[in-house]
Amino acid sequence: MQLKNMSKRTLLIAALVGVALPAALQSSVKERTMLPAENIPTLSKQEQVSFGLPARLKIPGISVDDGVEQVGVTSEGEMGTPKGPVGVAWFSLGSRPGEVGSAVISGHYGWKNGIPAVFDNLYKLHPGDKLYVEDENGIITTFVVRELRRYGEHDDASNVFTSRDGKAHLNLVTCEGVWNKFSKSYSKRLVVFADKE
Amino acid sequence: MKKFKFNKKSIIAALTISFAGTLLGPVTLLAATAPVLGTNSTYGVVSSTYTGNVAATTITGNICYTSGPGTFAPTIVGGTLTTPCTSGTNGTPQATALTTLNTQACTAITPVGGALDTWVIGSNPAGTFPPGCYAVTGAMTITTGTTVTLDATASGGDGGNVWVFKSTGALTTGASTAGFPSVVLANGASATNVFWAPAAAATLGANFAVSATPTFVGTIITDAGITLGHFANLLGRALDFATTVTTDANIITVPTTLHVVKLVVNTGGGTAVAGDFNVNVKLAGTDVANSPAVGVVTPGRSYALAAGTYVVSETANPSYTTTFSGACNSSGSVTLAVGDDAICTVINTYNIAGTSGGGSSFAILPLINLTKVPSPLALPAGPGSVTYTYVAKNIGVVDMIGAWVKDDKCSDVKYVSGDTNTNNVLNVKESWTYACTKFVSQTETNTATAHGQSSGWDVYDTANATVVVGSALVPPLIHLEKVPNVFALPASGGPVTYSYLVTNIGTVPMSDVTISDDKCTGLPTRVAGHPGDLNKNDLLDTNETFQFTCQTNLTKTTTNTGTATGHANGFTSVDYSSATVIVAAPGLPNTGFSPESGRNISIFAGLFAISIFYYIVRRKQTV
Repeated sequence: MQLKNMSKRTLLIAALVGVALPAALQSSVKERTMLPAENIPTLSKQEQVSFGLPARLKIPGISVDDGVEQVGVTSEGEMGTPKGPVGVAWFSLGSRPGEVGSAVISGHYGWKNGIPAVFDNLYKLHPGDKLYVEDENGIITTFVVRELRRYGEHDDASNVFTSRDGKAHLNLVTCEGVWNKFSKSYSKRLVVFADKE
Repeated sequence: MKKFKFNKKSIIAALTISFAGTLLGPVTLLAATAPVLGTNSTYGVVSSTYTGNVAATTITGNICYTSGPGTFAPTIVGGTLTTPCTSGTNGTPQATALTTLNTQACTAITPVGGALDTWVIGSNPAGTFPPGCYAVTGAMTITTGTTVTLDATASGGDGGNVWVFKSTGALTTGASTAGFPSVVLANGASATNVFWAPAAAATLGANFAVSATPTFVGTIITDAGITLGHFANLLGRALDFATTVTTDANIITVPTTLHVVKLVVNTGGGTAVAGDFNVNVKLAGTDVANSPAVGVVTPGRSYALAAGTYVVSETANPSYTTTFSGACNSSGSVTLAVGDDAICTVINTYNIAGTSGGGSSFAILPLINLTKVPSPLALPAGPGSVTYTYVAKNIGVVDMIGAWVKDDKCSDVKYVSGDTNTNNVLNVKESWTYACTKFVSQTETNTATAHGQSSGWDVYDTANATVVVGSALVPPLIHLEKVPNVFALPASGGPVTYSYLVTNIGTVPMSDVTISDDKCTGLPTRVAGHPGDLNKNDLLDTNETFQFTCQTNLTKTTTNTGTATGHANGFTSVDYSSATVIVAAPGLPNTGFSPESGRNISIFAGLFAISIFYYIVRRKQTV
């Protein structure tokens, strides 16, 4: 009997170590990224006169409400990525969101141990969906999705980082496609092109 | 049969018409050259004896006199009183200015007489004068109740923006009702550039009441006495170092001028011109008179302003980035003191890769540089033939196709030489020479543009040159060549060092040489003690080169524009040179994790738990 009791306890530990912990992590991420409808910020009343450093990215349609890190270029010549699954990263060598030009923000697609990442559902966005960037001064700039486009992992990304129409754009980038275990990279990059409202 | 009756009015009218001066048809007016006022530029009054009658006169600017002030001392705003006037500060500069005025050739408006308000020049209304130098034999007058208009855009102008009126007799304007002006400015004319030099006394008519706006405009320079009638309002100066300036409850305001020059850099495919931009000059958020107005290339648009801090801005074109150079700071703000004559250049650079994008590619932009030299620079005897020589040089690192040179006022620009390998390509370090000859009838500044293309990128450079007609004074001609040490940077950006070569390609030494860059700080505002000044005279001589460098760190594709200015004989020469450095776009980020990574860890964790379980079971069994 004691043996049976012990085995139950051990199984419980095993379950905790092997299954429950990742699930708990996943649960906490889910809870954090869910944005109640009433928390969607009031946007239209705030006049934009200047653009501070971006602080938060909010995409109500896919329950994103996360802090913005700043990244530059990696040693491989690629745009940097956020440190964890729940943050996003703004390319600080380019435009600020709202400025004329193309601001670019990256976020992870998938994370270790099956933990969900901020841009897991980026592909669910559609033209017309709205994105919001709040800067360090609390000013919120609204962008409207124009199109979703897929790139190869080594494709020329000039038109993601630059624009020549004199308007303000926000482009979101994440991974997609088939995982290549040798290059440790997905085969595609998903880019959501959005224009300042 | 109907008879005509003549009454007094019709007789007077007939006489007026018959005596009105007229310069009809294609008019060739002689150019006016502004004298250098030097230290007198900040003085509203320079006099040996100053007399203030009836009530105090308000002078905005400095005043000096040896004897004075009579009954009423002046009220001085933004200036100081110096007594006595000194030869070095006031006498010599006045004499130099008078010499400039008296020795230049002018359009004679004799023998009809000096009633300026009756004169008809070309197709302009009576009393409207385009820029130029006018000489009257005897007295020049402005009749009571009439106005002389100095119109920068009036037909027949000399291409400049300066008015000189001189007479062998007096200058006299009639009395008038309150605020009715004897002289007004129109269409960009500037009080800074109006000069009156009567050989005899100058007398401005009285007004019935004080006027808030000027009743007379310009700087009066004479050695025969200046008298301002009761309540006369002078936007200008009364300079009479030798004798007397008499005032009578007047307002004298030293003109303060801001010239706003528009420069459009179209490197990368832009097509806009200066006139496509609306430029504002604001004081405390409110547009000044004649603002906003469309942009004007060198010499720009002039604003007569009071001392103060102004902000230059424009209606943005999203395809262009706006920067400021010259007297304006990076925000377009400029602070003017009384008597200042400042230049602010508004530069619009075409957005090659978006205003602040990370760059488009590693394609290197070409870089072209243009010099333009007129021969001769001055036609003292009047209109004549001028040959312009242009040199378009490839100062970049890639060859260019489609090279050409055009001139806005000389239509027949022809290639002369330079394509030594006859491949029709402007190769790196090649210089192609072009030429154009035209008959220049009046002082004019024209702008030439050089073009080249590589990898689909169009690049341009411009060069200005002034030719003076009717004066022996030769304008300066400065040239700037700017080259970056790299033309493309990786996505992470990096340092760039720009080299600037400033040369004198004219014939007269230049003073007060300045060099600046709209996006690189650290260059000297005014050059002094440069090692390139071989004879140490603080002038840029024709055999000298001033070289500078400026380093900055670029993180995005950047076009910046260097500006060099130099002065001589009362003229200012400006040259611009732009360069673009491409910063490449980065690769797209790798944001994914293996879809198996979570499962592997779970399997590992499960195996670990089973191992522990097995170990515990075994241990219990053993116990």
